[in-house]
Amino acid sequence: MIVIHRRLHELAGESRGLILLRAIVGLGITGTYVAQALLTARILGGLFTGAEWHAFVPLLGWVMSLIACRAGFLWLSEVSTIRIASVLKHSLRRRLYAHLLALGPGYASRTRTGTVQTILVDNVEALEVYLGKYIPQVLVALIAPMLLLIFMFRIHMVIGAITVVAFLIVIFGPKLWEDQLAERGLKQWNAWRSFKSQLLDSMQGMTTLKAFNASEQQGNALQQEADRLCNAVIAENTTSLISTGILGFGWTTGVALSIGVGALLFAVGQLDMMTLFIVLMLSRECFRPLVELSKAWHLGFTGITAANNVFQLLDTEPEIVENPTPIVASPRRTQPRVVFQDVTFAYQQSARPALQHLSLTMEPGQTVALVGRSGAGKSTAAALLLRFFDPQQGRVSLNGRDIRDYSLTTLRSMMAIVAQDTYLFYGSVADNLRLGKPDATLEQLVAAAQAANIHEFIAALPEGYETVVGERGLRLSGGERQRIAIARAILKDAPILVLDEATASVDAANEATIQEAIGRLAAHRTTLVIAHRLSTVVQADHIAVIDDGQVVEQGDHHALMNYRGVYARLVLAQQGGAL
Amino acid sequence: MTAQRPIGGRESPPRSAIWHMLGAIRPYYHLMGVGVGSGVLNHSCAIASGAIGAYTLAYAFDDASVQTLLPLLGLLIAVVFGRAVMAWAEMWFVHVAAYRILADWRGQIFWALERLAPSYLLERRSGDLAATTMADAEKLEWFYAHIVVSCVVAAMVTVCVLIALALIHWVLPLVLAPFVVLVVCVPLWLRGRAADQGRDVARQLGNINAEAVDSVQGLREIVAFGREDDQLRKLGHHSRGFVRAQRAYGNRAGIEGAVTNALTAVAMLAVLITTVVLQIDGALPLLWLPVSIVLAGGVWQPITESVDMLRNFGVVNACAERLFGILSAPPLVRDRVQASPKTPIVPYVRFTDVAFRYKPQLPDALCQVTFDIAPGETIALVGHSGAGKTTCTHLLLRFWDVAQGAITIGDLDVRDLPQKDLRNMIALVPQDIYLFNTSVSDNIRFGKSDTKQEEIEQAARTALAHDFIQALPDGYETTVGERGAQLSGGQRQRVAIARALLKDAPILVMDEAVSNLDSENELALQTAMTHLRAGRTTLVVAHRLSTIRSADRVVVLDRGRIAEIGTHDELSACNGVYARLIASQRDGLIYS
Repeated sequence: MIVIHRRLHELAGESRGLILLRAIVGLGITGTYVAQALLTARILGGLFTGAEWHAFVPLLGWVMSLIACRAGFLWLSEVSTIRIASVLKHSLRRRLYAHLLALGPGYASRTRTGTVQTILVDNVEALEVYLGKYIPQVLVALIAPMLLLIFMFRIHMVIGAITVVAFLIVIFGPKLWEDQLAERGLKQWNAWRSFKSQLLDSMQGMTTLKAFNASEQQGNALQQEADRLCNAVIAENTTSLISTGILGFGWTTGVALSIGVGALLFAVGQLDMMTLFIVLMLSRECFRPLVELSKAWHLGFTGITAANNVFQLLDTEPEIVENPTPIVASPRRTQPRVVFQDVTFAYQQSARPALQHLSLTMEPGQTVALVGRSGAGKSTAAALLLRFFDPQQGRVSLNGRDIRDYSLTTLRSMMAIVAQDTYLFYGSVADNLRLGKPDATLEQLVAAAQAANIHEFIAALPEGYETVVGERGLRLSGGERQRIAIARAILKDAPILVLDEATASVDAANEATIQEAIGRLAAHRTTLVIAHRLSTVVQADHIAVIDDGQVVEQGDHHALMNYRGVYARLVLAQQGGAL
Repeated sequence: MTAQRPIGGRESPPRSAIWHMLGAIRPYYHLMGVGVGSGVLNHSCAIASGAIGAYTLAYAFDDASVQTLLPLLGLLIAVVFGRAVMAWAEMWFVHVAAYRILADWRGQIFWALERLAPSYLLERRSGDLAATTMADAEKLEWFYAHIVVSCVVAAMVTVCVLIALALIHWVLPLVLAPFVVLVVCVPLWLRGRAADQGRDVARQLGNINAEAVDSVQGLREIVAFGREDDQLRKLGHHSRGFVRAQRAYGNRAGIEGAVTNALTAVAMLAVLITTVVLQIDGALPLLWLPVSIVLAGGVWQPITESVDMLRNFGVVNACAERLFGILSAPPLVRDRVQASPKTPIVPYVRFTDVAFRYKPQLPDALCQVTFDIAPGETIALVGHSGAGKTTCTHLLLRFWDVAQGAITIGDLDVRDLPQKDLRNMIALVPQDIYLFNTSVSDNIRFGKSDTKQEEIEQAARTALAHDFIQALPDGYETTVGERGAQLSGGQRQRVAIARALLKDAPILVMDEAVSNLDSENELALQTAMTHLRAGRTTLVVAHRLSTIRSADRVVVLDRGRIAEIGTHDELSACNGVYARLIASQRDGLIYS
């Protein structure tokens, strides 16, 4: 029942003092109970010895004030529990989010959203009870019963011995089930996580399910997961209830035996009446802190496994490590030179490399296009340039310095990206645009939106630039999202531009205008274009054809057409014509 | 437990959440009943053991011998043991019932969302919805495993104890009863505030959930734009809001707890004074005095337990309300007819004078739209974004119902077809292809669990997806990742085409992705689409010239209305919307 997480100290963080305070208040509460029991025993003893009723008045007065004291303590303990929770959760969530951001998109792409969500939300909540209620009560349960035990021994050796045995049962009995509990606790969280991930998956794909009449199957699969979760929880509860049962049995037996044996001792003349009343009233109080502890345990035991999950995330090493002495100042040159030197990269250690010995030079102000089949490694090159990952071999350099020498903030402040699919955050259109430039004025937003040919669309929304978009807000089509991303990039005005199929979802009517805007944007910048549309590629200063992670051909459009290789074949295939 | 697909919407009138919650107990009443029974025995034994102990004491003072005390001691141990067993039984049965009920609720939420999709899902954040299903439902455990049982048990045990006290002296229950009433009233008085605070807590937690999803899914954007600090600030804001709500809630609960505790202590004091007075007056035999005090103390255990539980009813109630808000939300589309049509339906699709808007305050998405698609014909829908192309497909699939006019298939209004039969007739290749985080096979098979592997591979071959699927690490058994992240855009589209091929429905609806493809993939996709369209009545939202050219006729939409209908050649010849559209596109391309 006493399970202290081995990294408790780290977990408690700034709330350590508060946890201690909560424990002291808990001891105060126990104190009032004990004092009240002693006073009641004296009143009862007085009655049996036939005292006058006015002899009871001061005793009753004391009881009243104890009651008032306890009410105050109880309120204080509840309030301090809440405070612990607020300090703890706030700082822990902050730490987790900060770490998540440090882990970066590489981690996010490998992990299911539901898993991370469970850690950030549910596991942190589970820790609240563990740290706010359970841990302080552990301190109370360690101190108060010891003091009372000494008192019981002073009353009579036998009574003391009975109490000790009961304590031992209460404390160590549940230990027998500890391993099983830990194992089942883990199973429960796993079941919980997989149900949640599956649920999220089902919800996001609901329209597809519905259109294909496949809801039945998915619903059944989900119900199975729900049942699996249910069974895991029941299994865990069965074990934890056995612990609670042993505890309940231990303490009630202890109380009953103390009183019964006390009566026997009285009958043989070993105890006087007054002491026997003290045994009657006090033996129960000996166990109250432990009973409270068991209640707190029932509510807080999930905190142990939750803490493990939290640490699992916190202990994950970021793949991208910031240089200890980074270059912070961004280069003055507005047109940097970017070089990929013999870069080899695989997403996982064992996997086939996504890029193999890739070498590519982007001269200042040049527009370089990467062309190739899907999966050839084009987007990987962009991800390496943004340092979402680091190459296993070779290096990417910017103005002659390895990009790993720059601070991440500096590096990324030099780049604007327009990606294939753009995530819109819950918030207004203006907020989403300001991602590119937080202090942008409305005029600047409008100018960028006009350049990206999205202004008219935004203006026609119910609340214009203040319309809430993203999840729960208005959903935008792929093309609209992409035009917002382009406006964002225009606002960011960074010296390096990465266009990862930037106009892929833009419908044809808009494409010409946007192409023009992008053209203007790219003209003064070093630009990496990943493209499938020849219109974009043809105008590039340099074209590199990538196949299987390697550059197979490079040159400008005319040179490559004359070469009659892979590029020429791709161009011919496109002649069928996309709009 | 098997999932029952509820037919149509829940037509129940809005009842308060608590009745909804109680209603769900019905299938598990036996488990709950055993739980309550053991609970009553548990508490009775606990109080009895106290009373027997007290009686033993008083009896000892009466100069009893050790021999006469021993049987009492034996009885005491037996009662204590019985109590331990009953305590365990109470908790076990009640928890099993509670978690089974929870599993049922979670299943029901899925079906409610399915009924409401896609309109409702567009308005809610998926993280928030997941919170409802997971955390809110979990809070109901508190209701089923703790509140319900402890209240019933407390009521029953209290009555028993008061009767026992009356047997000792009639004044004692009269002294105690007012305090019992007061203690029960405390949470009732603060009920309104507790409910409001509970709602606030639940809402704020939903925000945190949604924020977590935003942070994970939008991580790339956050990092690429160097907006880490802003995001942390935003999360901090929500986190603080949540903590503030919890603090208000906790302060109230703390006061409630303190008042309850004080009231019970004062009650004990009152009983003590009464017994003192009664004893001094000689109205209460000394032998029964400790027993009456222990009984008066024992009565509070079940009561405070249930009141402690009730203190959290605010949050439980709020969570239940959110849950039932989803379960009872009226679906936009209802089946007017339950029976499947008896005769086969000719796949002749007609839009007649169709008008539609997504919300009353929004402008018309479609207005007076009339066109038809003959069996086997391919119609291309063309127009600027926002012209209403996708809306046409939504209405045909009955994700929404038309506001005016009608859509018919072979003279049958789609609203007179059960949704299930309608969707059996239509295969969809949407623009935003959603692949589930399972194997490629499962994603192609999708909803047809009895499909053979050869059939899947045949469909994949026709969709020109077989080669790349085989090249995946585990071939057809490769898991595609969340939202199909392991596949490229073009690969996802071909999997979707294979899926539609396998469904083999007479009507095909395609919302063509604008692009996302390299040219080789594009050629493959065009070929796959041609295979898919063969012999089917097809409505395609078209963006590619090649697709438009291959259609039999083109329907040009402009701001929700039909601008022109005709073949590509006819429309190119007249200098209208279509010609302008095509011209602007040619400008954007060098080769076409």
